[in-house]
Amino acid sequence: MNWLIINAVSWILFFFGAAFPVLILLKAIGLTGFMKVTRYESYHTFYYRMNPAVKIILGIMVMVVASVTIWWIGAIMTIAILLSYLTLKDGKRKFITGMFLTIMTVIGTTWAFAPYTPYVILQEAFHSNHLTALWVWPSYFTVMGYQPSLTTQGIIYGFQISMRFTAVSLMSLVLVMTSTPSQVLRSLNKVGIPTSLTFSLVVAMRTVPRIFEYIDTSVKIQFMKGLGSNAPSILRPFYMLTGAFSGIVPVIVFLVRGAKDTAISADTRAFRAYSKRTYMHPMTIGKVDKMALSAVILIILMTVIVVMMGFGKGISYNG
Amino acid sequence: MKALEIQNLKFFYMGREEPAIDIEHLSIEDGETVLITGRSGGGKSTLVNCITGIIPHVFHGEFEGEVNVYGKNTVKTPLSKLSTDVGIVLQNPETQVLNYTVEEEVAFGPENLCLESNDISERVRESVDITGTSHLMERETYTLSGGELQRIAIAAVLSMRPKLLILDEPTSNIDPEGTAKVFDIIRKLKEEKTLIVVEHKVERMLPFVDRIIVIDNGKILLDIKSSELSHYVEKMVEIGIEVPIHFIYAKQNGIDSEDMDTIRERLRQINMIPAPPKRAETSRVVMQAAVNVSTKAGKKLVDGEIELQEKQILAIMGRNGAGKSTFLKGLMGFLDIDLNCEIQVELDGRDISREHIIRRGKEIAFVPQNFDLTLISKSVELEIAYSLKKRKVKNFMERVDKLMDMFSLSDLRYRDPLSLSLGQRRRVAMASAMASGVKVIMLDEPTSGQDYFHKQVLGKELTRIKEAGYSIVIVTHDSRFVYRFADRVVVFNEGRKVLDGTPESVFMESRQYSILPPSDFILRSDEYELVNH
Amino acid sequence: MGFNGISGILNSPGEIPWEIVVLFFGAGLLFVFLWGRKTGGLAKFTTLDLIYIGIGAAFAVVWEFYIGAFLGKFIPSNPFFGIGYTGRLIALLIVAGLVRKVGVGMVAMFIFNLLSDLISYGFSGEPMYFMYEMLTYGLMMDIVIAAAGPNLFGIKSPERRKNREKDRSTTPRGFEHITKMPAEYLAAIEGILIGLFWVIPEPLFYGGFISPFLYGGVVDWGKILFDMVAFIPSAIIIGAIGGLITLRIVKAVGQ
Repeated sequence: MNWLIINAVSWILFFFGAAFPVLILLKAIGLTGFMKVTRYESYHTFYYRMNPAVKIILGIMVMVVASVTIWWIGAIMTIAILLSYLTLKDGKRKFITGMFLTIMTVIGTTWAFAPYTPYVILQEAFHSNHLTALWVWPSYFTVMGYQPSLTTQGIIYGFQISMRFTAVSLMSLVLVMTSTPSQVLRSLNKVGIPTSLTFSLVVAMRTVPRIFEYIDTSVKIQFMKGLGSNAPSILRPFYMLTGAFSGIVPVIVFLVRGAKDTAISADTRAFRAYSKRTYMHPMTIGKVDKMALSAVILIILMTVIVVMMGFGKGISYNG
Repeated sequence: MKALEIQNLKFFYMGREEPAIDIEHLSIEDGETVLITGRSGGGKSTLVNCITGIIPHVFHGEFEGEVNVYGKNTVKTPLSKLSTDVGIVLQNPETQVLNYTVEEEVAFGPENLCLESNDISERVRESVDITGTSHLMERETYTLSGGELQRIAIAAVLSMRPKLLILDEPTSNIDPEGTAKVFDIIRKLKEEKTLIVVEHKVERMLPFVDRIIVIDNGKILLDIKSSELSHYVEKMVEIGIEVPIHFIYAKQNGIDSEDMDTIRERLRQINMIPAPPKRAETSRVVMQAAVNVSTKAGKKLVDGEIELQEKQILAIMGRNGAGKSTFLKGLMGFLDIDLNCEIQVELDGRDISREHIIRRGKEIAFVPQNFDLTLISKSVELEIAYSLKKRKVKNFMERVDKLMDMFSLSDLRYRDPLSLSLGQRRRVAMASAMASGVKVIMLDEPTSGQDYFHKQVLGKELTRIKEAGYSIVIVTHDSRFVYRFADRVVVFNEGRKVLDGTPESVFMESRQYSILPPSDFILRSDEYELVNH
Repeated sequence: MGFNGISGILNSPGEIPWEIVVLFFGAGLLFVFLWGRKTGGLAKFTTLDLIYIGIGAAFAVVWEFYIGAFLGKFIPSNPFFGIGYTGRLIALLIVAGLVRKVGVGMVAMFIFNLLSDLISYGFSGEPMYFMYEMLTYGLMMDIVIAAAGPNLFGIKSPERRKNREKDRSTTPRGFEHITKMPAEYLAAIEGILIGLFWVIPEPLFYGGFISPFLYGGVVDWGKILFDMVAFIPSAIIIGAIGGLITLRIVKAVGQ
């Protein structure tokens, strides 16, 4: 009996260890919740006035700092960037959604590392040979790469690793939320990416929210037609996913049908007449950008000092 | 100078035996305003694509003959060079607008021409002034209504300063208010540019145009002065083109006039005023719905109620943003979770307000405007059987066959729904939505983007469904369609229901909400004439 | 410590010698350059092609970062099936079917990568990923497109009328299939072929080079070979499904 319980619980943990919290979060946000975050909306605070190229530099800086320093520096940056979401348009909502996404990243990453990380690494990381087992997996789980037990240290380690990803994800979202695609493409064009490619990119960026909207419609209509009508309501998120899969073909066909008009609209307005374009508002480096760049330099200097003080990668990291 | 000169034009799409367009000669003078009309699929769009140079530069096929726009040969001149002579505004603003903000959209063309930033700014300002859109400059394009978006699309083409402007069905996807504004722009531009307008709304265009060209089966069927229209009414009706209704009655009764009042007077004298369309008798109430929706910030989006009777077609009308779609979505349980909703739906006396859309869908069918998104199965048969299978209905094939019969889909049983024509796809979507034995069918803007012929087909289909025992709710902007086929009309304005009654009573007062009564109604209504004079 | 996430470890035990990687990327870039010179490169893509590529990239991103990220919580990382792989393969197959020009694989991978960087990765590990994804996944897809010729996935571009008059045996429709093998089979086979090619990069390049190079990962050739073999069944299934979906979409829009 005991054997059965251990196996059952282990498999439930294997499949749904990270799923349940994520499920609750997804229900809270809803499928269209993501859409609102990925959309650009015009506003006047500092992020919106910043040159997109500077925002990309900021993103890279955040990533570099997170990957070369101890985990809590990543955590501080995550909190700082998340707080800065409050300065965005409809900041409170964006802050909450950003927080949800961060929690999802933390749960996902922690669960991706906690059961797999070899004890040797955990022992090295925590400078101790003593690991606290929380759950002992059935022995055959090692075939799937699992360690014999799930340990507290494994979970802490996974959490710390997640701090490498959270800040950079939030910073990348800032770029999308506060710059129009054409602002982004202007800065990308400046660094030599051809107009043809940046055009494709703009189409892609405009299409992402439309895909959500259309899939949302498709899924709702499938529900109306009885999708999941015989299943308990707790399984509805799974049906939502199967509905989303079924919606892929009609959604793409719908988008592709509209593509011809988009092409006519661009081609009859001299798109690609020349290898370059001029702009009504050429990209400039303003006061906000100078301040941001100064902050970047300052943070890099601080990082070097922090690393020299011994707060480099606190835990060895096997990707 | 000639704005357009076409000689011996033939264009074959790849793999086609018959030319999509076959025009021996056509010329348009500088400054002329020409209406091109005809059935969908008759070759109008191919013709305008040949004029803009899209054919053969973008869409390939076999091109014969010569098209010259202001002396420039469209085959030999690169598209970018043509773009300053000829510009085109398309039917669907959603797909032709590329950029995120209005300003970027209007500046897109001049930026591609590598103009100086001052020059670009000047062109942008000029274009938004003409189109009356300067107040929208800072807005994101996706936040605009269809009508606003279409005016931005026009501004974006005007900023190229084309001498010849083509508007390809510019009003078929937008609301009456937006349509009126687009017509205002056309009136202004008429003085400055050569205009080609492709439109089904012949009646609305008549005051602006010098010439009417009818294209059918790829050929020019008629090329007449607009003042001669009344002589060609029968021919136009025969090929399925919407002409002013009073022209038809005048012609039928030998009345030599184009003036509505005169024609009505003469018809009255000879006792030939046509009878109004038959409306369904009052019957049992099938559905009662009250929808009250506001944003979290407290902004009221819609607060209204409807009552739907058995075997009735109820039309919901109103400006864009009047709350029609929100009303329908609220009724279906489709709204975003971040809205405050108080929704009361009673179906056959049973309160279904708290039921999930899975349960509601068993009794109410919904066909969205983008009905293509609902076609998920690989064959027509599977698509119609979908809900029956999901709901584990026994002997479902019987019902599938019945629906296929009802919608004339039996020959298409094994075809992929997505590869069918637009009309067929809509029929499949409707049949599939109705399959699980619904009582009520709701259609969001089914007339949008459809030509006169297809709207007639749709109207007859809906009438047939109604007569089979169903109750139907449609959201539409088309007052002529409503007058002919609806039994009752509800008008929303600023989120509230402001009118509710038969089409005859509603059209008496609807003008104040930007809903122009159709000529069918005006011709028959003395009372309207009295009130509005 | 390294720059931009790149640790730069070149001599981890078992790691693919960096000279070979450099040679491969060098040859790949040379090929791209020569191919561009020969065919006109980006200029030969019409605006419509660029829009199709954008739509495909958007779909791949929605899959990978939203639907896939969610699904990933339920299907743990395993050597038999990859959620990201599935979405990306299907998206790229659809784009390839719509565009049907050599180079579309690499261009689409570039856009997908750029979009991923903008919305999630923040350019970490670049430019390594641009090169890796374009010159492995993208290039492999382009090789299959080049080999398939104009009839990729059984889609035969409609002929000009004059050619058709010479051969009256073909059906007079805007869209047709080649006659020797049903289009569905060809679509499935070519989908499978691309799917199988795509089995290679992740274990070989990622496990054998990028992981130790960027992140100090441990190279295990047994695992690399096992991962490649273990992935084959799902690659076959997804490749075939992807090919068929592509054919259906292309047929539906008559492209």
